[in-house]
Amino acid sequence: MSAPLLVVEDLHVEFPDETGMVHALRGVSLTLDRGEVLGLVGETGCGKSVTGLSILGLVPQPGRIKSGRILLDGQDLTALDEGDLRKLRGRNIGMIFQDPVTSLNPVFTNGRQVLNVIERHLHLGRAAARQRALELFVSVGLPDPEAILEGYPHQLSGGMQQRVMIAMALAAGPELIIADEPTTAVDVTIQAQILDLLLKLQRERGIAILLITHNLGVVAETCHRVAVLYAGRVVEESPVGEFFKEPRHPYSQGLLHSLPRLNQAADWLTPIPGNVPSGHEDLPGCAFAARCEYATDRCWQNQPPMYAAGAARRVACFLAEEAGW
Amino acid sequence: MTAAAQPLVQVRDLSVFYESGGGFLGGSTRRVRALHNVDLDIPAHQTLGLVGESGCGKTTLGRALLRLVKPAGGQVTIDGVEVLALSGAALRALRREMQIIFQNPIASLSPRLRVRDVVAEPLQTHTPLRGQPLNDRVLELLCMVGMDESHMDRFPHALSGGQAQRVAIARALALNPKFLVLDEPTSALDVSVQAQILNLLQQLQGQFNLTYLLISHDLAVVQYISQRLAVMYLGEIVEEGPPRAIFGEPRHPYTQALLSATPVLDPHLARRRIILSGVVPSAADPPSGCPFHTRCPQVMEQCREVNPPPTQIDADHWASCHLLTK
Amino acid sequence: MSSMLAEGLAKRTGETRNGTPGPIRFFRHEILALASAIVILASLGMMAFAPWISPYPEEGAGLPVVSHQLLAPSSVHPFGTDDLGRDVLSRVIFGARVSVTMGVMVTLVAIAVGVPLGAASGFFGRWIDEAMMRITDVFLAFPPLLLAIVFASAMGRSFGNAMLAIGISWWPWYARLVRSEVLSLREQYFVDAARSIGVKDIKIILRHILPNTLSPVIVQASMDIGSAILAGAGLSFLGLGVRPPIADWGRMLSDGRAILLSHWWVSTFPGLAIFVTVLAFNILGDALRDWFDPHMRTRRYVA
Repeated sequence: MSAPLLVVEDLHVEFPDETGMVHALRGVSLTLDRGEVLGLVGETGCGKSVTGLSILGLVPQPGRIKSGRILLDGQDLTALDEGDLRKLRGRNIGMIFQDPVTSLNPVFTNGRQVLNVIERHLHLGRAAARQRALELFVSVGLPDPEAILEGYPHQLSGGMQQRVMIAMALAAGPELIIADEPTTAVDVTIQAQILDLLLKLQRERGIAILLITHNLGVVAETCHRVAVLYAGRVVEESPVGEFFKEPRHPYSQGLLHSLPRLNQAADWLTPIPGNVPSGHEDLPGCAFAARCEYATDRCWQNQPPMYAAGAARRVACFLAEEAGW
Repeated sequence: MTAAAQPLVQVRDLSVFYESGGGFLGGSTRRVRALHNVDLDIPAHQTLGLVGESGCGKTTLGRALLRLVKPAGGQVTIDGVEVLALSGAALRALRREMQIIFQNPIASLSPRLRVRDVVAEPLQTHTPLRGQPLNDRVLELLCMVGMDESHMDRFPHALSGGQAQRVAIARALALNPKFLVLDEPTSALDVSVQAQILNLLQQLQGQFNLTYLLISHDLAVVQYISQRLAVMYLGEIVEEGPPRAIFGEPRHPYTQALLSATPVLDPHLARRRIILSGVVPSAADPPSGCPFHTRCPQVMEQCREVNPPPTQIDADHWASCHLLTK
Repeated sequence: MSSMLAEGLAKRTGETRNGTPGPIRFFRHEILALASAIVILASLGMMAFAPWISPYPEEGAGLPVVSHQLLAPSSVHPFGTDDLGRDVLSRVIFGARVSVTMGVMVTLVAIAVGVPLGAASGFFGRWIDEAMMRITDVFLAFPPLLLAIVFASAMGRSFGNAMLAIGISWWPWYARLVRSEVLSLREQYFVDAARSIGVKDIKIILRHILPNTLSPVIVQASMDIGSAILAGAGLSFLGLGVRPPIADWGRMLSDGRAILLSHWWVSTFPGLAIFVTVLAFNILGDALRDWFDPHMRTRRYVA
């Protein structure tokens, strides 16, 4: 059992805004093993994108990492300066963003986008670099790679642009890819193509993927494990099979019960009452207490720690003590 | 539950074209075929779910029914009234009967109007209600959608997505319409809010005998609330039927691919994934024959030349595919 | 106007804690905004109360005092006297009436003509838009001051004509500005919603579209007031504005030109008045733009 590739330890990230300090992450902890796909799920405002950006050291100003550690292969990324982080980005960690239209530079050719990554991190000659770019385009399933190499992003459909992004993320051979809502902006049939591609590449190259998404269906189909984020903390971490069969944390249960299902008829959905906290308040207790049907006084006053709930499951809920998971 | 119930909305041969590109100094304008000879019946007091991916024309269809875009041809009959022939005062009167809920709730509310004014507008336009009676009716409508007096003076940007959508629904119901087009009403909302809005829409449908056209790309949402389903591809309806038939036994290859691509909340479910090759062809230059033939895994020679007509599969289930007529 | 500034200032001061946009920039902003508010209030005050606050009101209105020609600034005449012996300070105060009125009226004329035309053009499109665009193209092909001069000379020398002339040469900017705003607003969901309710087009434009074009128009207008004052001064300088002996800053600038080196005060003080007033309106425009922006744009961080 080798050491995990990525360990995030008690990460706190905050942003000032017009009305005060937003506590975007309030102590996020998670681990990612080599070659594993971890789904990081949550709704708007839960902090999932911030988590991804923090790992890359790209927290937008004036936000900052307040405390916590991010260990990549044992090395603490929070202790590195910008120069060292830049060497890591692309080389050790690849990133795929949500909207390829805004992530690809419209004035560079597709080939140039990928070559930028190759030239920066791998020291190959021009011909070798171009060859590698071509190979990457083939491996991401782009038809007519030669032509696309010379072409521009606006000439491609959304799905193909996303493939170019994947090629860029893979270009320098990273061990970890952070994919932030990679298929939210594309249609469902294209999404299926992209996810299949990601899984295929992941298996072939043994890459670990941190898949950030709000779509639980995508998680079910692509991830080995899932971490549920609520108001800046991980509330449940579990292998997917067990998670979907028996979610433990009340928030996870609420989420799954409020989703319409394709293969089950239901008369009414059960929404989670209330709203996600805004992030401005300092919540001494469990952030979910206000919306939880099992909340006790203790929940309002103390933040539950992560309890082990099975071989590979962790749940941040006081129910763990009574339920004997 | 089938077409035996008299349809409230009948669409025949509806076509819509867009001009895109070009400009004053010329340059090529392209004629985009958004809807192509669409036939559709929406049964009264029920929900018809319209699914498809981007560019299939589902949003255009909803807007065409409301006369927000100008069709190039066809007829639309709502409650016996020929909608496309109306204009002026008659058209304005008809607008009381049909309303639309948009995909982006906050953007569908005028940014400088307070909630009370947003909901009051239809009443001010069509009724003589003013002053206190108007106020009372606005409050009544807001309560119907689960909001209260404290929201009345807010501006749209101060509302959450779910609240804004509720206001939009209140506005839509102000004049007691019969027919509501719901254009991706929950796509922009969080999962937990989605459930609240879907429940609300269902409840209101029962309460006021409404007929819905629900447009969505999310098959699970559509299945949950619809009694009938229509699948669109490149401006045409390719399959139509009750949800259990469409999901249980999809007959059109596109429907099959769409279903297989939709993620399911069960990691252990073994699925045969149908991966479609290529991308959706441009609606400015649609393929000959069957619009799906360029990507169909079961394409035949015939498909390139002849557009298959609708073939009856069951009493209430039909699809347009040559495979069915073999 | 000043209450909006005050509100805007309160928004910035009251609610910022925890190190938001750097302290230096914020402080600078506040000082400038305050200073410009003071200047604008002062010029409005001068306009309204000229006869009461100027030390020599009759001279301000034009009465020559032959014995006191071209006196240097002193305690009796803080700004000195001009070539007709009139107290320059009083002339400057009276001059505010003409200049500031010019600035405001011109802008109002340009808005009154440009905004409706631009809105109609943007909303209805097609031939109305084409026609409008071609007309504005013609206007925009000329430097605006040149156009104003042409109109003013054609219409004859008077205050009213000068205002009209400048206003007519400026409306195309507002038309274009409003048109482009309307073009994008027209596609918004809330406009579709209004159409689907059955609201008439005119009402849609007035109620839903125009109010949302307000902020760029207001910002442009406040900056234009400054430019209009300058343009008015320019026309007067060329002899196309008000007739003497009415006090007008541009005229005063021109009159003192020949004796600038020997009797600097005759031109300098009116020149300073122009400079300070125009600057104040420009800063007001900046402040308004900033005030509108945070309201519209939410600085939301990726979550």
